[in-house]
Amino acid sequence: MSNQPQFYQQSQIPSTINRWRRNFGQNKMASAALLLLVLIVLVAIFAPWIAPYDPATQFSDLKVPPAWYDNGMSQYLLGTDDLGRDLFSRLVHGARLSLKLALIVVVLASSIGMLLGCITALSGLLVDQLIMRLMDLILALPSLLLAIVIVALIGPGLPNAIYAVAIVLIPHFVLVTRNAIKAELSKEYVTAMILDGANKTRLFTRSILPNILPALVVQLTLAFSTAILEIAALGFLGLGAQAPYPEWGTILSESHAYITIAPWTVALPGLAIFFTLLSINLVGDGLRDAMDLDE
Amino acid sequence: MARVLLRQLLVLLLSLVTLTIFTFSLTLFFPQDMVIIAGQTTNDFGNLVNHYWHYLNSILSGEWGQSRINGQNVLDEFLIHIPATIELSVMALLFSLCLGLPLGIIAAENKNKWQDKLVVSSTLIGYSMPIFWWGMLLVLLFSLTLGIAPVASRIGFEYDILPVTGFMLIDTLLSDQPYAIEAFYNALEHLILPTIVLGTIPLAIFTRVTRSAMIEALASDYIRTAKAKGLSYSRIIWLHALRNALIPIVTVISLQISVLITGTLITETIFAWPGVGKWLLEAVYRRDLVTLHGGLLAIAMIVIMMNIMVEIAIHFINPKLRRRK
Repeated sequence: MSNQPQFYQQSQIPSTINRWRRNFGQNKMASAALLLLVLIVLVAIFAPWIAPYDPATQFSDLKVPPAWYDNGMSQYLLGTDDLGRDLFSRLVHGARLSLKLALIVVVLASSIGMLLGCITALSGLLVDQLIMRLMDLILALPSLLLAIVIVALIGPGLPNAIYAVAIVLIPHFVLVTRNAIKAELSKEYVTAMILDGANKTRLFTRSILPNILPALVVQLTLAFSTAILEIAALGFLGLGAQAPYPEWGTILSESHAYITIAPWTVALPGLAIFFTLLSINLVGDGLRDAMDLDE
Repeated sequence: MARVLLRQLLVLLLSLVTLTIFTFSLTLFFPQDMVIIAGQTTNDFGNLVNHYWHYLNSILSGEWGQSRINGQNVLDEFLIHIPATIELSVMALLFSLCLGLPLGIIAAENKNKWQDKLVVSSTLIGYSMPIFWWGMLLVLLFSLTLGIAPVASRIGFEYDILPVTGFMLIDTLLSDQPYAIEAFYNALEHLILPTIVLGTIPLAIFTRVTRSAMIEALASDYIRTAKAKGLSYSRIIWLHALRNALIPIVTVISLQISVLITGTLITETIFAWPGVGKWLLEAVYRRDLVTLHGGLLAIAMIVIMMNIMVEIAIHFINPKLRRRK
């Protein structure tokens, strides 16, 4: 076909996915953020091979500053902390831990939240109102406060902190899923499909689901960044990951006391959290713009 | 107007009922810890409805149980700690509004120019800032390195201020000590860093919302009319565009109350600020569920009431809603 002479002007209409990809590619900031995010994820996946030392090994060189300082040591690229642990190794392993925990939280919250959202949207007024009032109440409460109360109820520690953050995130998914489905249900093509005799399963999987996907994808990225921040905040307050774990927030809370003697142990873990959050938020914004969703 | 107020009052009532049912069900899971509030077990009351009624009565009569930390009534403890938090939150809100609105307007006026790009990238940075780290960085720079801001607490220990209202800025002025004015400035100095830390995320959000609302307003027909009429530039921006952009901004303020309270939990920890956040965290560390229950209930009530107030304020601002009586 391609080597035949073309007599007609052929315009290629890109598929929706291709259009989104093109839109996203044109957003330079978002593309750069995606690159950074991929880098962080790669570091997280290959952490055991990247990190030069075990994150818990204590060397006798206490509070060595990063290598670019005059009294830094080249074997500890980012210096060591108050117990002589290599900060670079701890941060790399921290990336693995933080991203893994956030992933668990998001998978938990999104599966329950989306399921509830579907049930709410497709069921009658009473169930809808009941679930939505409860979700409104949870959404009105400050998220970190609720997470802290849940942690206090079920006890501090890593698994409980994950449950707490997941519970706090569920209402967002319920709300987004429900509103997206409700919006689709009122559109004419759905009525057309019902008139065509589509059954409920077909209606849901073939017409509603693909159309609410953009909203869900954006919500997933936002939830991922919230999850990382809340887990780190709980770690910082001493309610999440406990001491030997190289979780970023936990590292920060440990080094808080040494802020004057070893400022790099405060600055660097925060930088890691900051860049991770920044890249996820930028990618989320880029996705929202690329898929023409309003804020 | 009366109808709007009545409607909001009904919403308030319903929300408070839902809230108390929610907190009541929390107490059911931990009967031993919550025995003071919820009376006895459900069996002693016959059924759940009676039990809930008893619970509601004790909440309404101000008997919120005794704190495990010092044996005081939790409601009284809450009232002791809330002024410090309100003082800090109000300052943070003012800071973010006073800076966020002009920044958003400047960005909207210069859409896609360097000013806009600078503002937008700063909001992205502010939005992604983990505030516990941000607070420590500011302390490191301004308190420990430059030595121009105090590290922690509400006022220097050399000042002896009698708590009258609980708001340090007011109490220092009411004080009859010879150093009252000096103490006022000292308290203000102590407020600066916590205000910046707490206000950063709301600042980013206000700037963003103001920018997009102003861009939308400036592109509308009535602005073109105003320009054609030859109105001055500042009059167009401040009187015509901003007034219409105010509705989304006020809506966002109600969402910030939650953000601010989340922020106070962390900010008060960093700056040893004796407010509700620090009090609640202390309760968590001691597993004082009675205090936590009271704190959650009180804060949720405040958030719900503030949301209703903003809702009413929007009715006042938005002529579309106002006329639809």
